[in-house]
Amino acid sequence: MKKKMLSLLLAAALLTASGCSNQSNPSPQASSDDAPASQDMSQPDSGQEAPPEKTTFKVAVILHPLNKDEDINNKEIYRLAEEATGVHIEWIPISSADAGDKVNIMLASDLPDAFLGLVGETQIANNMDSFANLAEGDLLKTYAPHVYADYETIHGGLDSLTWPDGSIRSLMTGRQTSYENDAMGIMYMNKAWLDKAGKSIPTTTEEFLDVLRAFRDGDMNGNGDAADEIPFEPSQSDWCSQIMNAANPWGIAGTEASDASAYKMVRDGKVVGTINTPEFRSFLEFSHQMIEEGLLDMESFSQTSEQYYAKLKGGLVGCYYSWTPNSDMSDDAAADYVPVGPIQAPDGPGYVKTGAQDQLAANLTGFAITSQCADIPRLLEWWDYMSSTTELKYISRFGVQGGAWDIDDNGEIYEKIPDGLTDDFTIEDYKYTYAMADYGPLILKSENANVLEDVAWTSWYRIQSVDVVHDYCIPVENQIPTRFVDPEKTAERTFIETELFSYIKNFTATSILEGFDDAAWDAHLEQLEALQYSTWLQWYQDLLDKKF
Amino acid sequence: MKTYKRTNISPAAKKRRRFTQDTLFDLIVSLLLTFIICACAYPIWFVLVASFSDPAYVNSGNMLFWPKGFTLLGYRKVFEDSRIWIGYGNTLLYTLGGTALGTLITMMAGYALSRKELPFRNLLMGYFVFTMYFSGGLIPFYMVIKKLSLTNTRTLMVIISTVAVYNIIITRSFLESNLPEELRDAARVDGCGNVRFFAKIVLPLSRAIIAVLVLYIAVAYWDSYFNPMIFLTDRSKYPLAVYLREILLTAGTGAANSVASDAESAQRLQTMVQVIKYGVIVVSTLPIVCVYPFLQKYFMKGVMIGSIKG
Amino acid sequence: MSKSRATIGTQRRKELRRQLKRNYSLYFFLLPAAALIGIFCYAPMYGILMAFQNYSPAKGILGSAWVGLKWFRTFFEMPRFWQIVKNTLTVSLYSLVAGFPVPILLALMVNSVKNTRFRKLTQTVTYMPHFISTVVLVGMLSSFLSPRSGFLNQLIAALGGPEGLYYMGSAKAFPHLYVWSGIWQNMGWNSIIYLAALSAVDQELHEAAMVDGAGKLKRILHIDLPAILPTMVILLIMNAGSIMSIGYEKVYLMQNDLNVTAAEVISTYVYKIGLGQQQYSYSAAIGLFNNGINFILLIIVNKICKKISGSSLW
Repeated sequence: MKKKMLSLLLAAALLTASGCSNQSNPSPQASSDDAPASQDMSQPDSGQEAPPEKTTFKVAVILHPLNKDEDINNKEIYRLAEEATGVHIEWIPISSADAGDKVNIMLASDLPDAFLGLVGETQIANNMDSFANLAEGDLLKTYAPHVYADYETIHGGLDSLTWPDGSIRSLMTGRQTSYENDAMGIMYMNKAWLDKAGKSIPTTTEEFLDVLRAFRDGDMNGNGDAADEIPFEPSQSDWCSQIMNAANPWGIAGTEASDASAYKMVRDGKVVGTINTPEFRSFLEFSHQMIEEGLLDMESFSQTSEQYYAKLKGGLVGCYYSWTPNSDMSDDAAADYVPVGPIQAPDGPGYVKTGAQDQLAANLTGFAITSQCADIPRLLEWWDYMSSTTELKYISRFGVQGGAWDIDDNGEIYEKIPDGLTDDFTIEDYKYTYAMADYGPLILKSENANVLEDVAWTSWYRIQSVDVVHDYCIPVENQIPTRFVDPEKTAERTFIETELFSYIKNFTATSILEGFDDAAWDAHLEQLEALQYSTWLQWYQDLLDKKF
Repeated sequence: MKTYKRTNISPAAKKRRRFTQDTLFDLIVSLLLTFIICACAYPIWFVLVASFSDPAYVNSGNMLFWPKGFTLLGYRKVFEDSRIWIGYGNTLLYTLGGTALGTLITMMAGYALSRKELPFRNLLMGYFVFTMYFSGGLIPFYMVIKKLSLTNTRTLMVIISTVAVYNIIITRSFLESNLPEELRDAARVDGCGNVRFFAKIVLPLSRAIIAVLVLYIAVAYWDSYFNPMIFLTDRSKYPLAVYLREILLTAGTGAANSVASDAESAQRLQTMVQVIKYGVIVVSTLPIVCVYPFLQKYFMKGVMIGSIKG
Repeated sequence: MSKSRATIGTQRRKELRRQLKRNYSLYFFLLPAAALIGIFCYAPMYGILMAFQNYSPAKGILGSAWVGLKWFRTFFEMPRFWQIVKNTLTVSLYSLVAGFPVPILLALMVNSVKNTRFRKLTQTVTYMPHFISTVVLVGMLSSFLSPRSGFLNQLIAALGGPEGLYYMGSAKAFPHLYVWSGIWQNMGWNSIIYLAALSAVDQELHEAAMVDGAGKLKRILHIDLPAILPTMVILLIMNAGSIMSIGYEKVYLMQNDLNVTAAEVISTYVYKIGLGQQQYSYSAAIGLFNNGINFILLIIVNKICKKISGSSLW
């Protein structure tokens, strides 16, 4: 009651002061006794015109499995936002496991006022009119000035949100860029094994083979069994360890982690095929040789992720692809693994690493207001409030200041480890329980938090690892910009992909496992055409050329 | 056939031959069944042992017969999870209610369709069978339920799977072949109407098929996750199966589906789920597995004939 | 002629009226089931129309555009159409041929066991695998069949066989693995209905046959088997009517880059198409096509069974 009165008073004060404008928002500090939030920062204008009388909106929100508190309103950020804007949210939590079906049913029957972290591009594309057009009448610019200003600072930021018909149907969540996400799975090699074998980190495919042979022949893990070592372990069941990573030495790489992403590349403004090239053939032959010599685990193609992690944890693996090794095994074991830089193939055009420099990492459809919403401006103001300062953005992302983040003497934000974590309640659980992690308002590149070695080791180590290969990731000029397209066009592509990808994956796997001859290669090229490989490439060329 | 022609064999010799034949037969059957028991029991044993073991050993194939890295951590976590207990309560409610109602409705329909004198019998059969093959799909189904204001209600959860056409068909077929026409005729002569005949004669004679129905319907309710997931918005009304699915799904595809920026939380999920996976499976399936042994006595030989005569 | 036909007609009608009058109470027995089916199945049936539309949930059936047979054409013109249909039929026919007799044999064997304890043990144990979830089942399969550490390969190696056979990665092995793991998982469960039918066999028949000197095998063939024949026929008809439908989940989980040539079936294809984007209309069209074929098969098999055995659905 007291709090409510307080915010009403503040609102009244705001109203009277609004003549001289640029003073602002009720400070989030006003009522949070347990949260030492941003007091010393000057509050920019919220663009708020109406007094914060109470309005309720229904918002469907993703319920992340790590979130241990199902009452979303317990999160600090929503308490602050409600006090500042008077917007009360009635949350409809939807478990990520059920999201697909439940959202579609909501689209067909009871639309909430907005979706947070639940809809994707296709759902918006197929149900365009169910979502409010925020470009209409400059809604976004007028009622969410901070958000709008943020998007303007990003090169092509507003473009990436705009549909072919000029409408804007969603707002971004997450981070604009994240250096640690620029590279995908990085190869890590067991340094202790290398030392034991008297080898150094390989830089060519020949040296790579040499190292793997040494791993195979010696009893590297010292358990008395010289045969249980697996020199090289990609895994199709893991999202960032798939086999196409192994084609990087031949200059074949995707911007994303999946194999399919590497089936096309951009060179000099042209979308070109990769799997019909001599380089791809060399890669297959090389990989087959690894199978023949027992260097590459053939189970890579079928194992479940459980089997994969068991091998990693069991200390059997010489080198593999990972985000960071210490999320795969104990810290002690992980300490043996070091990132491997470029490996050059003599018959290739030069090493390229899977990943994309300065890639837009934000979720473009993170927050979407629906046509059901009776008061779009109010809801926009609520979202805008949370985007109005960097501090608020971080309260949304990580929870209260001083917990998982803080501000140093230079006014820079850094990530830290909060107190009171246990094995059952790690930093990841913390972020999803007390905050929204990646489902909060967009954090700009310039606002990215510092990651310090002694406070957030894993994230820090990830960045160190990315440093090793970052220059080899696909540069901006060779990326296809993210853009919404007409659902009909997307459908055209999807129909080709379902069959094409399945064929390519099968060809890759069988060729590596069983080898192939000239006739098989020629048949492969023919089959690609039959499955419309060139049509598929042309689709991306047209996207790149903004033909649709 | 041959033995029947040899009429000059003494009864004692007949018996002897039958005896040796049967012993051989019994031996073969016992051996086969023992083999099948082993093949079926092992994976069950595996799940049980895995629930007490360190996940790393389980997944590497190092755990074969006995727990490795013995731990009760999985069970501790399961029992700490309040969702599991709420789910248990809901599942019990839905299963008990649905099974009682479903068995009755199915028996009634099966009985009516088993009577040859039912006019338009084949047409009605078609009415039921057609729905096994053609359906309007999820969204129209949802709209109908919504029109009836049944979404997010426990009532819906109880009635939604009461009628399965498959069950009606097997009931009808059972009653058709095991309920002699003469019985109904005799009852009719005695002035016994359909209702009394059903209650006094049909139900007691159909204990075996009732047991089957109870089992089929109870298991369907116990395992059902899709309808609750779609029609319930209150998580406090969720049955166990929905939670179980959330947990297993996260384990299976959590990492694969994650966006890059969320890699660390995906890893965290993976490890979290590995620990409790087998524990959850044991806790959630044990009760329904235990139903069958109680129903087995109704499958014993001669149940039906015995009761007619008695 | 016409006159007699008319009289036959009136006679029939009379007979029907008499029957209706005498048996109207049977309709009350049917009412609850028929009403629930009406509400839950027939009321939403209009959704079938979405197979002929460009359906979007927001527009609904009334608002979505009509596209005629577009989705059916898309399906038939798909380059791998025949391969996928062939895979589907291979797996489901194999399941039917191998999987149908096993529960019957199991039920007959269990029923012949005299020792009550052993009988109950067999029943309970064979029934349990049914409850193992598919994810766990496939995980176990992959682990047992692993070329590196799998139990089966260790066994084969110990017996002097070839080492490191890669079953999960073989397209040839896929149908066998799929079908036999399914049989293993469900034989106990599927035998329950036969055990119920067997419990109704008159014991006097057995006693009489025993006096005649008939051995166990003979009695099973001449007494037990005929007793469960109607159940067998009904289940056979229904199984034949689901030839085109294989659940996607287990196939999808067993699928990998190596065996996908054999492991892509209609349902997994639909699932994959749906993953990328919600293709309601396309999946509805494929579903309608499958079930149309299923339904026709059901009618044909039903007719054949009626002629041969006298048991049928209608």
